[in-house]
Amino acid sequence: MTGRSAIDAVVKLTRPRKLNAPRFLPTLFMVFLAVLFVIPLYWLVVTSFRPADRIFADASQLIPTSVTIDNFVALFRDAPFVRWFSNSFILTAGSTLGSLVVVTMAAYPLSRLQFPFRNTIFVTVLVTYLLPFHLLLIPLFILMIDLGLIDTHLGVILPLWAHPFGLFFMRQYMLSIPQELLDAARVDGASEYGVFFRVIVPLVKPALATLAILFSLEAWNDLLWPLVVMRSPENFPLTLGIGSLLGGASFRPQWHLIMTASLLATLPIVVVFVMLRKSFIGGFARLGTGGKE
Amino acid sequence: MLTKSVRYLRILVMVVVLGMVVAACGGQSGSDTTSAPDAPAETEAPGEEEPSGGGEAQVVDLTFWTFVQAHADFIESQAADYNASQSDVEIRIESTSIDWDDMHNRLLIALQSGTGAPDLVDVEISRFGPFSRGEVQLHPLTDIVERNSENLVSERLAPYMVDGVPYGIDYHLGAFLMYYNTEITDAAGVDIDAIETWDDYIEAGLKVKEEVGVPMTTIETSGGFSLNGLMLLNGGGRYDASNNRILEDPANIEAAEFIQDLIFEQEIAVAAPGTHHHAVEFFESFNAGGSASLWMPQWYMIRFPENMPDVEGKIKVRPLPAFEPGGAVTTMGGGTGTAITRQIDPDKVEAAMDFLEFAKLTYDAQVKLWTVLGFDPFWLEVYDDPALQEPDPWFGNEPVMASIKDMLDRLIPEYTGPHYAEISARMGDVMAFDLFVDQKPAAEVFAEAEAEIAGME
Amino acid sequence: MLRAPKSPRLLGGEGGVGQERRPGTPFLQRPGVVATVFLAPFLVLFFVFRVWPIISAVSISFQDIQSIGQGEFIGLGNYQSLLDDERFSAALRNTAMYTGGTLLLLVPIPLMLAALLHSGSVKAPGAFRTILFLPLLAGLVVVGVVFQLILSQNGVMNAGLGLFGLPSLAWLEVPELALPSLLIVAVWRWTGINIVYFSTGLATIPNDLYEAAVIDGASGFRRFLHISLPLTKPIILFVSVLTLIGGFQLFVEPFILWAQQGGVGPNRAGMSIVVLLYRTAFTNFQLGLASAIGVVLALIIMVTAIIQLRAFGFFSRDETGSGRRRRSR
Repeated sequence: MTGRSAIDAVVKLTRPRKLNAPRFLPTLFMVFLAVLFVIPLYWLVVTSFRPADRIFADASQLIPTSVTIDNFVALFRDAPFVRWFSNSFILTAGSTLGSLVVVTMAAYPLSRLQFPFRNTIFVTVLVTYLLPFHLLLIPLFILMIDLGLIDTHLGVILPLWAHPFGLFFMRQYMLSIPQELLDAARVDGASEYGVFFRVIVPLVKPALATLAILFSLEAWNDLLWPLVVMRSPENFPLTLGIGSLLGGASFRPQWHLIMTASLLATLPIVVVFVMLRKSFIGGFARLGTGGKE
Repeated sequence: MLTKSVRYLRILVMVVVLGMVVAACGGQSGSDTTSAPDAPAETEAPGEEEPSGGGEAQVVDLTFWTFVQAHADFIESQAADYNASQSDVEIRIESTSIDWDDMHNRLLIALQSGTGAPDLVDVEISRFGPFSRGEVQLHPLTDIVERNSENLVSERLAPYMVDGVPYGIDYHLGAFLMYYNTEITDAAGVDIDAIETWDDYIEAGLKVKEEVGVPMTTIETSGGFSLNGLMLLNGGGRYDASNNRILEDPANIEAAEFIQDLIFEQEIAVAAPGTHHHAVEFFESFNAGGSASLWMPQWYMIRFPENMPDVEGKIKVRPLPAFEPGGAVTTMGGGTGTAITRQIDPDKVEAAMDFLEFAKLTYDAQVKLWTVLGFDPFWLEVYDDPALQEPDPWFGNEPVMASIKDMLDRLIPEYTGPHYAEISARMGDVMAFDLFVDQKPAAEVFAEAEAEIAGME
Repeated sequence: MLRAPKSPRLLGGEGGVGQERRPGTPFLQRPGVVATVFLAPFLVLFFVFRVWPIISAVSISFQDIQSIGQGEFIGLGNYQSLLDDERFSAALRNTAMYTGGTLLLLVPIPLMLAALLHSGSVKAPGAFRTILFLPLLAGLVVVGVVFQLILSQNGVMNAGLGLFGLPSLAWLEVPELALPSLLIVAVWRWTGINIVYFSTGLATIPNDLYEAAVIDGASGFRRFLHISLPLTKPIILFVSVLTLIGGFQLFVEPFILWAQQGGVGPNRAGMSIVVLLYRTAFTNFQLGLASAIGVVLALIIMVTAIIQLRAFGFFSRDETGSGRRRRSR
C-alpha cells in the first residue's frame, strides 16, 4: 500500500494533476445553471425584506424597490421565534445524535459479524423503508399516548432513532473497511467492543458527518411527526410555528412573517452544511464500492 | 483534507450538546409552569379577584385549537371579558393555532384514538363531515343555541347540525357579496346600483368588455366558491334542509350552465388567474385592475387591504344579482364552527358552554365579530348598532355592514351533510375544471360527482 | 491506535467472530452476544416504532372505518374497491409517470454534471456542488410559495421562456403541465445531492485509467462512456433505487405546489398515491381504505425495486461479494 502511494506521488509530480485545465465555456455553463438554482432562494431573501403589503403586489419584481427590516422586528415581537428555534434545535440535535449512535452500533454486526438472521434483519429494515410514513401516523400516535410521550421532546426524537436509511448507509460504509484492519486489531487482542470503538468508529467518521447532515436536514425540516406529537405551542419547532403563521391558505396567512421565519430557519442549516461540506461529501465516498471491491 | 472539517464536526457536536443542555433546562422551566398552572394562580387570584368581591372564583382551564391566529386572540380576549363580567368562574384559555389542514388532521387523530383532543376547537365547514358521521365526537350545544334562537340568523347554525342537534357556532354569517372595482365600472359607464338581476350583470359585463377591455369577473377553476355560490343562490346546493344529498338537482346544473355561458357564450368571465381567488396571481391581477368584479363571501373583504393594496377606495360592495326580479340576492359561503369536544372533562362542560355562549352568542360578542375580526355577524339587531353603520373609506366610504342587513331577508342558507368534505374536494379538484375549462356538459359533471360520492358510502 | 491486549484470554479468532464457540470465551464476548448487544437498541426501537405500527396499519387495511371509533372487518374489501376506484388509478398513473420522469432526469443529468465537475474543465467545482445542493436545505412551506410564484403566468419561468421567444405557459393551471411542474421542482431540489453521490463515485476511479485513455487519444465524452459510466454502475444503481422509492412516495412537491387545493393539482393531474392516501385518511377519514392504499404502494415499490435491481444484476453480485470473501479466509 505504501509503495503504491509513493508511485502515485511520483506520477503526480511528473504529470499535471488534472486532465483538463479549466475552460471558459463549461464554467460559464455551470455559472448559468447555478444562477437558475439560486433564483428561488434569492427570491426568499428579497421577500423577507419587502414591506408586508407589497409581497404579492410586487411579486414579479426581482430587484425590490422598497426595503424594510420590519418583518424581522415583527417576527421577534409577534411570534415566539426564539422558542421555536430552540425547540427545533433540541429535536434536531436529539434525533441526530441518537440516530448516529444507534445506527452505527447496529451497522457493525450487520456488516462485519456472522450470526443467524443477519440478512433477514437487514432486508426487513430495508422493506420498511418502502412504506410511506403517513401510513404509520395513527398507530404511532396511539402508541405515543400509551407510552406517555405525547407533547414531549423525547416523544418526537425516540422513534426517529431506528433510521432504516441510516442503517443501510452505515452498513455499506462499514463493508468497505479493509478486513485486514479488523483482523490486526483482533490479533492484538482487542475484544469485539474494542474493535468497534478503536477501529470502526474512527474509520467511519466521514460517514458519521454525512449522516449527521442528512439526519439534521430531515429533522430540522420535519413537520408531520412533531405536529402529531407536540400539543402545547411552547413545544412547537420552527416548522410547526411557521405552519401556525400559515393558518391555511384561505385564512389570512401572514406571509411576511412566514418568509422571514423561513429565511432565518434556513440559515443555520446552511451554515452547518457549508462547515461540514468536505466531510459530508467524503462520507459518500465508499458507498457504491462498499463490499464489492 | 478531511481533518479540518472533522475538527469542525467535533466543535459542532460540542456546541450541539451544550446547546441541548441549555435548551433542555429552558424547556424544563417552561413546562414546569404549564404542568402546574394552578400553583401560581392561587397566589395571584386573591389579589386580582378582590374588586369583584366575595368568594374565590372557580378556575377552569380550557384548551382551544384553531387555525387562525385572529380567532385565538378573539377567544382569549373574550375570556378576559368573561372573567371580568362575573366572579364565579375564571376561564383560562390555552390556545394553539396551527395550519388549517394540520389542525383538522390532528383533531381527527386525537378523536379517533380517544385521547388528546382539546376542550374547545374550531372546525372548518368543509372538514366538519367526518366529525358528524357515526357517533358524533362533539358536545351538543342545544341549550345555548335554543336560548338565543330568536336573535340569530338561524340559517347560520344549519351547517353544524346533525339530526337537528347543533354542534358548532360560527364566527360569521359569510354572506355572498359582489365586489366591484368601481374604477373599471365607472370607466365603462356602468352604474352598479342599477344591476339587479343577472341579465343586468351580463349587460354591464358586455359594456366593461367593450369599453375597458377587461373581463367582468373571474371564476374559480380549482375551488368551489364561484360554483357553489350560484348553485345555492339558484336554490340548489350540496345538501337539502334534511341533510339529503342533492348534487344532481336541476338548480345546480342550471347554475353551472349559467357560469359556463358567462365564460364561453357572453365571454365576460375568465378562469381566475392562478385558478382560484386566494392565488397570488389573482391578487396581483385584481390589484392591477385585471377584472371588474367578483363574487365571494363577506369574509373575503379582509383580503383586499391585506393583499390588494392598490384598489383602496375603489372597491364597492353590493348584493349578488338575482336570478329573477325579487329573488334571492345572497347566500352563505364557508364558515368555521367553534365546538366542544366529547373529551372535555365533564366537570368543565357547564362552564365551557356558558363561556361559549358569552364569547359568541351575545349582542356584544356579535358586535366584536365585526369590529375585531371584520366578519359579518349573525345576530339580527346587531346590524343597527352604530359600530356597524360606520362608513369604511377603504370600501368606497360606504357602511358595508348596513348594506348586508338589507339582504338578510333575501338570504338562502347552506346545509351540510356527511360527505360535504368530499364534495368540496371534488368540486375544487375536478368539477370546476371540467365545467369551466374543459366545458364539459354540466349534467354529466354532476352525475360523475354523485357517482364518486355514492361510492364512498 | 491499537493497544496491547489487556488480557491474553480475550484473543479473538483471525477470521472475525467465528462461527464456532470457544469454551473459554466469556459471556459478553460470545459472537451471538456481541451481535445482540450492538443490535439491541436499534432492534428494540425498530420493532416498537416501525414494525408494530406497520402491523397495526396492515390490520386496519382489512377494516372498514368510516367514522370515529368504529371499525368492521371486511377482509379484502378495501383492496377490491381500490381496483375500480378512478382516483386510485389516476394517482397511480400520475405517480408512475413522475417516477419515470425523475429516473430519466435525476440520474443522467446529475451524473453528467458530476462528470463535468470532476473532469477539471470547470473552475471551482466544489463551489458549484455546494450551490446546487442548497435547495435541499430550504424549508418546504417556502419552497411551495416560491415555486407558485416562479411558475405563475407572469413569473420568472415564463419570463425566461420569453427570452428565447417561447410562449408563456400556465404551468400550474393545466393538467398537461402538472407533471412538468412537479419535475421542475424535483430537479431543483434533488439534482445537488445526486451530484454529490455521483461525484464520490467518480472520485474512487483511479486517475491513471483516465490518463491511459488520454494517451490512447480518447475524447472526454468517450472517457465518460467507457470509464466513468461502467465504474460508477453501483452508484448509479443506488441513486436509481433511491429515486424510485422517492418517486413513488411523491407527496411534498404536489402538496406544496397546489397547497390551496390539498395537493391534487388541476383536474387531479398532480395527485400522487401518497396525496390520495393522506386525503383519504384525513379529509375523508376512511382509514381502512387509506391503509390499503399504503400497503399496495409498498408492494408496488418493492416489485419495481426488485425488477430494477435484477436488471442491474445486483443479486448475482451481492452473492459473490462480502460473503464469499469472508468464507474464503
